[in-house]
Amino acid sequence: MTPEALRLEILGTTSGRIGPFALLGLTPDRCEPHHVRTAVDSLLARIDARAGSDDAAADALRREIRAAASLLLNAEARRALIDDYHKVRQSVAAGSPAPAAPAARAGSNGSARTASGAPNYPPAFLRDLLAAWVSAGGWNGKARHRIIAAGAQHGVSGEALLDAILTMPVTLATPRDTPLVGPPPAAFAGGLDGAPALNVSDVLSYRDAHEAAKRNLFVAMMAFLACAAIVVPFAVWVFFQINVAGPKPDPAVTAALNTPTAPIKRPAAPTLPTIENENINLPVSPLSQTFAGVLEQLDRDSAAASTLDQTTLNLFASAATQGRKQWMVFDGAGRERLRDVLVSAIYRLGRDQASAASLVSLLDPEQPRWMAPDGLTGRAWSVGMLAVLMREPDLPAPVRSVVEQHWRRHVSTGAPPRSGDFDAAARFALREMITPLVGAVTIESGAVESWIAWLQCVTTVSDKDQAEGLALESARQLLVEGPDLSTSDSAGRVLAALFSAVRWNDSTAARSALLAWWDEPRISADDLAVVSSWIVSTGAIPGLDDSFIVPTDAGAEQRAELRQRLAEAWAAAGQAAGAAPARTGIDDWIFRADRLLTEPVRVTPEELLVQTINVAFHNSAAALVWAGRPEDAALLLSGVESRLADARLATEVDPGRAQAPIGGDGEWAVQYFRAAKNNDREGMKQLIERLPSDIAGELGPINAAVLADIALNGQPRDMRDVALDTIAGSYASGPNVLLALADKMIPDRSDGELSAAIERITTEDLPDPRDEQWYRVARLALLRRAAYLRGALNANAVIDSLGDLLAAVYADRLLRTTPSSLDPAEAAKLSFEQWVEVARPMQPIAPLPATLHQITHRAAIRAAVLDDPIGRFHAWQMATLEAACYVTSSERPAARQELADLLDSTTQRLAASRNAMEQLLIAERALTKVWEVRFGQAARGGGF
Amino acid sequence: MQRALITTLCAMLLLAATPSLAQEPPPAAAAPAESSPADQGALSMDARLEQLSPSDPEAYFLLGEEAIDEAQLDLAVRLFVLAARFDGDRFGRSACLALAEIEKRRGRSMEERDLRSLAALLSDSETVESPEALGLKEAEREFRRAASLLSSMLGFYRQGDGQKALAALELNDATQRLAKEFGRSFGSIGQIMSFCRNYPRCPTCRNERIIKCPSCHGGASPGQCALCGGQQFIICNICGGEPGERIAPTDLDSMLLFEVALQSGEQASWSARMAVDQARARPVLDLSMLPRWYEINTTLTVYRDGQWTMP
Repeated sequence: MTPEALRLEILGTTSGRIGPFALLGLTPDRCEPHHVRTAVDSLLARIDARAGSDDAAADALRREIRAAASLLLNAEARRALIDDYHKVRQSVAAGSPAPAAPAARAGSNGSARTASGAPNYPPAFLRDLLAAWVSAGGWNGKARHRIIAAGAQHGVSGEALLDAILTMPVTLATPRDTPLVGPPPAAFAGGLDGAPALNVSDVLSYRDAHEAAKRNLFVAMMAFLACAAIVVPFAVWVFFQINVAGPKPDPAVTAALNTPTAPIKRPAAPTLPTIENENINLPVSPLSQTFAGVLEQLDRDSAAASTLDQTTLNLFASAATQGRKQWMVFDGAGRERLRDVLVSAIYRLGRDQASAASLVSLLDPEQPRWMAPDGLTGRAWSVGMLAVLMREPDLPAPVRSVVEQHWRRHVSTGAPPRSGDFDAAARFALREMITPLVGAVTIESGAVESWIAWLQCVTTVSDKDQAEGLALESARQLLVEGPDLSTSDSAGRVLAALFSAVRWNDSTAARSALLAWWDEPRISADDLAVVSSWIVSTGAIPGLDDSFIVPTDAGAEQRAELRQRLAEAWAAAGQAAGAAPARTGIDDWIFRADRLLTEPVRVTPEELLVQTINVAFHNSAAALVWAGRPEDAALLLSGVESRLADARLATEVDPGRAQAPIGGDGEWAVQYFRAAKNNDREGMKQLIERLPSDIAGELGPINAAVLADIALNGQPRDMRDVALDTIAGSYASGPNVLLALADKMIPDRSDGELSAAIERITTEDLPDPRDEQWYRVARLALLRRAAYLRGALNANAVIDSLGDLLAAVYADRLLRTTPSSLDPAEAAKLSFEQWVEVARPMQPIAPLPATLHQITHRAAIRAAVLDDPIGRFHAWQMATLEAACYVTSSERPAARQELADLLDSTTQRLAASRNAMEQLLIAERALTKVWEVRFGQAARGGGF
Repeated sequence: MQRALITTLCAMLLLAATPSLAQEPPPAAAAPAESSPADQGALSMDARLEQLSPSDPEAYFLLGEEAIDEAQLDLAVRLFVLAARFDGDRFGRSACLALAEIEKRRGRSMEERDLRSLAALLSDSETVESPEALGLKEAEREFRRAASLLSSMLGFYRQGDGQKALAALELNDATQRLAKEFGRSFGSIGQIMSFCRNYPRCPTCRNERIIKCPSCHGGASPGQCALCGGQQFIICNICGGEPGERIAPTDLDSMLLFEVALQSGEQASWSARMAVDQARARPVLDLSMLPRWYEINTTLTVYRDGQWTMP
């Protein structure tokens, strides 16, 4: 059943615009709580009794009924509703006695009346009638004029008009031939208590007055036009004569005359609520004596205990639980102490799988309702603790295995934090929460409290810049994806709380973010109206008045105009505060670029890569400056140091650290050989199946080799399958087993079972086992996994982290949306393609260094020759440089020779460079010089 | 058979497309020579070299072609490099193709690939050769195959199976090149091969790691044999259950990283790639690099008294 049909059946109307009285069938005189409850019960019972009572429409209606009931059950709200009801009634009651029942009247203009008595007026007339009433803001003098005008326009007689007014709820709110259910709305029930409300003569007199006013207006208009036709030319002539003959006007006067008039005040949009009693910055204090005592006891017991007993486990649980709940209110020393005690206890007690699982589960328990304030606080702490544990070098193997599982649960999406420190990991967890929390704003009643808790966590683990960044990111997401601010109180409160973490006038990041919102089409004008209204009402940004409030119907042009005003307000505020006038984006960029180009070239690959990234940041900023986005460029450059620091600190946690084999290596193999000698197949099989319970996680080299041998060559076939299944199921994290399996594989001996097992182990897709590439790919997958588990792939993780950052910086210079994560070479290729797009319409007489077609082919050839990841990035980097030269020489032909020399010297320097990282730096610096030329600044000599 | 035929056809087409070696005149070959080829042929090579002058780069180029015919490849290389140096616009591309052919004869496929790529970069035509046409993809496939073979060989070596390791490695230009790369990081691959020759497998357990108890010969009941405790089998007492050479954990990590990076190609991480080549500088595909590649001093441009000197 459709929602309309359901409403019709239960409420007797399809309209969704009826008030709580009409919805529940109550009147102001009969709306005491027991009336309300009776009405609700009755309506809900009717809904329940019908078929399809559990569908969405029924649920929606139930919610609506409950909402109306909750309004009427609230004494304050009920009083307000009743007052409104009476006010409207009094305003209507200024006319004649209430007419008799509307059904007794007939429309005099021939509008047919339906069987139920509802008049049958043209829809356009009814629409105009309602519009007139609504736009006048209720039943008042203005409404009368407009309604009468609407009647006159549609040729409705006075009686019919009165009839239409009195029966409007019937005709608008119900379909034809439907009886009106519930009391008539107050606005049209003026005569309910016998008081005069509106009579026909009143209506007719207003109608006549309206007709007369219209005639008068027409005459006045014609007279005005006639006068204007005569007076305006004369006035122009007089002004011209005065201007020519008279003295020059005083510039000051002219300026005063030209000063724009004060902007028209607009009605203030709904603004954001304040966040009183919602203290974001929690006061911190040392650990309480009781809790410090618990930690002390735990430390002592764990040091003394040889195994994990129940008492110690309880102590650990108590410390972990309290830590999860209260870590934010502990000072730094307290948090440190808590971490140390828990980690030490895990070291001492997590010696077997079961103990490790118990302890780690207490640190990171399952949380079905993690979005509750306590839940998300605990979750952030759990992730921080797991990160700390992941970085512990000598953690017992069982604990590492369990920690790894928990860690993967939290970092399954997004880029995991590579730093092992608590704060960074907690920030990562908090960032991951943004999307679900934004989603919860619309549906969770406690969403605001959760957001407050989230902000408290953020401020605890972040410096001001980081906290501001997260707050701005959340605010943007809320504006883009959250509910309409003008209708959602909780969304408004959340936004106000987030704004409290932002330094609007002192932070470039905040300015850029706010300006960007004005450009963001997914942020509605309605939401901007609320934001701008908040800015004006709180005086967050000086110099903005009501005229800055974004109209809810603002188009792109108006938004751009207001964005400009916002930028000007900041500039003016800066100058008023005595700050030096901001240099243009270009000057600022050139100043910084010059400094970078004269820095000495570093020595180690890592340092060179950092230097390259720094230059790359500036090249990306140049692209933004060129695109007229100096604020974004400034924002980008302001984040260089922190992003570099993050990347340099990044040493990916070692999830793959080799686990120490447990048990005497080879004992199991001896038993297996014995069973094999006795041809005890069942025993052999059981030995393989029981192996994981005897030796968990990893095998020693002897057992690993024997098990791998069985998996590859075991007889009979089902023995192989059992071994493969055991490896895939229990030793997928055991590097010894995987390496043995890889090293014992023989070409041309593939089978489907083996392939499937390797896919399970490595989670990589393999070619068909009959494919000639299968052996190479399958073996490589196993080797990669083994190397990863041994930590071999993380040996120089900082280089990978910096490479990722380089890719991100290249992505930043793309003036369009790009995939969230890009390989460095892909990012450089996209950058090249962007230059090509710019170059395509250009037709230089002497293209430098070659035609666009040739540049593209050269790029492809370079990328094919330099087929390793660093070389491929360099190939596209060089292609970008060539394309940039092509564009710049086309735009500035006079600089052609300068650019040609630049390319030549770059080639020579590349050839003389010590390593690939230095080559990346040389190419990136050359690109900076091209940008300098493009900005009109002669490229500096030297400095490569 | 078909593959050989295709390879031959490709080689012929490549020769035909190479102006210098297909005996087509180079871009400026149409210019009149000072003396006829017959006269030139009558002179010794030394005498003809002494006639060369930087003002006539074409003579260098033509003599370079003759040097190839006389199998004087080093001399030919110098002449082509000098011709390209004197007049890159006219002789650069042709010199690269000629040098590529020389490298092909020398069996140095990577150098050949780089030179052909450089020739393609120098093409002033709008129709530039695709990477496939330049044989780059084939070279990459060859490289991948070689990397896989080397990795297999190392795998068997790790398992102490010298016999299989030796059988797995097919020595050719690509594998030798990779072996050289490997040597930069881990020492000579020759040493590994030497070990494999001397240690085909554990002589006692034949790499099974477990042997019958030499004391009771696998016939003891539980608790009866002092050596095996009645288990009937023991861990090999010669190799200790781990046949082959002991590899330090850090070396093993580096070896794995090397293998993974080599075989992953473009997909390798930057750090893995750095472990393979220590971030060695990438070749710069530019004509001006030819003298550097061949370590030829291009200031010594004239031949006098049996040696190259400055004019």
